[in-house]
Amino acid sequence: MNSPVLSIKKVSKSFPVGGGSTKIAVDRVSLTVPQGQFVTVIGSNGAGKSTLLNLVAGRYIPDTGTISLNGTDITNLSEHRRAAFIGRVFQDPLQGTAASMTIEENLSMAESRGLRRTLRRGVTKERRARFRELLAVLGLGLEDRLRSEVGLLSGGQRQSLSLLMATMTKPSLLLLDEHTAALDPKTAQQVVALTERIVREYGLTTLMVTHNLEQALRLGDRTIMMHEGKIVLDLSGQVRQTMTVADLLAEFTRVRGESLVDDRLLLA
Amino acid sequence: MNWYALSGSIEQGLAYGILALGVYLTFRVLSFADLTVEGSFPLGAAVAATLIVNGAHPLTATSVAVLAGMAAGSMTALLHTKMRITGLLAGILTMTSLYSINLRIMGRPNVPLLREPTVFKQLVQLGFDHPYQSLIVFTVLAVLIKLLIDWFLSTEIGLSMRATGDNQTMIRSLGVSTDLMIVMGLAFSNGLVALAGALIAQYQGYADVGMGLGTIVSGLASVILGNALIRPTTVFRATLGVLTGSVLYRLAIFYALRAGFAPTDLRIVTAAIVVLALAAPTIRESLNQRRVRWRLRRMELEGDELARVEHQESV
Repeated sequence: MNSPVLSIKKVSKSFPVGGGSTKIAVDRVSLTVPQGQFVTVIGSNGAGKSTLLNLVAGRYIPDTGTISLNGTDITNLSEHRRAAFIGRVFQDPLQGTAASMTIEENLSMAESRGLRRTLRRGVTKERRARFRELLAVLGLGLEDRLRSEVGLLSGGQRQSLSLLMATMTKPSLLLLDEHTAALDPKTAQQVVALTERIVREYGLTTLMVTHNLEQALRLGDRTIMMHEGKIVLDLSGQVRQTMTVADLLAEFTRVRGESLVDDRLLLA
Repeated sequence: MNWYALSGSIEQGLAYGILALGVYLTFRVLSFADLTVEGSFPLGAAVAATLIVNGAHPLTATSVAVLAGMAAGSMTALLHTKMRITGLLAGILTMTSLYSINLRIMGRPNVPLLREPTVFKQLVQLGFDHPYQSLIVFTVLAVLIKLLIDWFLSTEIGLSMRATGDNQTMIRSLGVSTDLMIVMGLAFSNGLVALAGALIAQYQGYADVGMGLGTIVSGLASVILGNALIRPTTVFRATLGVLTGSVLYRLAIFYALRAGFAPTDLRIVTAAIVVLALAAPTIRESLNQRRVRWRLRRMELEGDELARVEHQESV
C-alpha cells in the first residue's frame, strides 16, 4: 500500500503567553491525508488551524509527535528544505511574492523549487515561454507584463501569482492559509475558482484553511473542524455532501457549548 | 580647475566605487545595514600590505586580502543568523574585533609600501606605463566588478539573494535557506570591500589601521546619491548609479575642500550629502505642494481683484 502524502501523529505545540504560562495551540492532533485529497480546515479564531499548517510547513517544530510526508519523517526538517515538496499561499498577498522583483523573476524562483540553485541565468528563454503559457491561464493579462515589478500589481493579481508560484512545480502538498480572506469578495471568488481548477487539474493534495463555511463544504473532498487545538469534526463522503452551512453552524455551537460545560465542570 | 585634480577625484571615486558596490550588495540587495565594512576595508589593506612587505607577490597579497574580507563578512553573517544577534550589532562587533586583528596583522599602526612592489608598479614593469595608469586600472576594475554583480544578481542564486532582501517568508517557502544567502551576500560584499582596501593601500602607498574610519558613510553616501540620480529600476542601472554616485561624492568632497572646508570638516559634509540625497524626494514634494498652494492663493487674490474691478465698473 502506498503511504499517505501527509501523516500527522499526535502532534502538539504550545506557545508561551507571558507570566510563565503557556497556551496549547495544537493538542495531540493526528491527521492522515491520502494522495490527491483536498481537505478544508475550519474553526474559530485561535482554534489552531494556522498553527497546524505552520507545523506542517516547518515554521514551527512540534513539541511532541511526528509529521511524515510521503512516508518520510520530516518532523525536524528545516522550513526551506521541506519547501521542496510543499507549496504555500499565505493570507497576506504581500507575503507570497517579492515586490521589488519582476513577475518573471518571481516565477523563476518558484520554478527552481526543489532544484539546486546554480549560477545559471534565472530567467531563460525557455522558462519565459512557459511562464507566458502559465500566466495566460489566469486570464489577467499578466503574460504581457513579465517584466513588470510585482509591487505594481493589485492584491488579487499578486495572490493569483502566489497561487501559481506555489503550484507550478506540482508539489506533493499544497497549504493554503486563508488565502482569499484579505481580498474583496469578487476577487476572492476568482482566486477560489482558480484554486479549484489548479488543484483538480494537477491532482494536488491540499490543506486549505478558511473562515467561509460555505466554501469549506463546497470545495474539496473532506472538511475538518478544529477547536481549542483539537480536531473535533471530520467530515467526508456522503455525510459531508448532505451537510449544510446551518448544520455546520449548529455543530460549531454544540462544540463550543460542550467546552463551556467542560469549563464549568472543571470549575465545579 | 585643473584636470589633474579632477582626474584624481574620478580615480578615487572609482577605487572607492568598488567599496560602494560592496555596500550596495548588503544595504540595497540584502537590506542589511552592515558595519563590518569599517573593519574589512582596513583588513584588506593590512593583509595585502603585510604580505607584500614580507615578500609575497602583490596579486597573491591582494587575493588573500579578498579572502580575509570574505571571512570577516561571513563572521558577521554567522553572528546574525546563528546567534540571532541584530544585524547592526553583529556588524559593530566584527568591526570592533577587526581593529585589534588588523593591528595584530600589521604589528604596528601603519605599514608603508612606498619602496615595495605593488600591482601598479608591476603593471609598469609589464610595460603598461601611462600618466593615467591608475585611472585606467580603477575604471576597468570598477566596471568589470559592476558587470560581475549585474550578472550574478540575474543568476538563480542571485535572484534568491535579492528575494532574501525583499521577502524572507516568500523565498523560504520556495526552498531557499535565507541564512545561507545572508552569509554568501555578506562574504561577497566584504570581499569587495577588502579588495578596495588592498588596492587603495597599494595606490596611496601605505596601509593604516585608521583608514576604515568613515568608509561606511562614504559608501552609503555613494549608494544613496547614485540611486537618487539614476533611478534603480534595474540592477544594471542600480550598480551604474553606485559608481556614478561614488565619483560624484569624491568630486563633492574635492569642491568642498576647495571651497575652504578643512579636511576635518569632511565628515559633516558627507553627512549633509547623505541627508540631502535621502531627503530630496520629500523636499521636492513639499516644494511642489507649496507651489500649488501659492498658485491657488494667487488665483484667489486675482479673483478678488477681478471681482472688485467688476464691482467698480458696475457701479
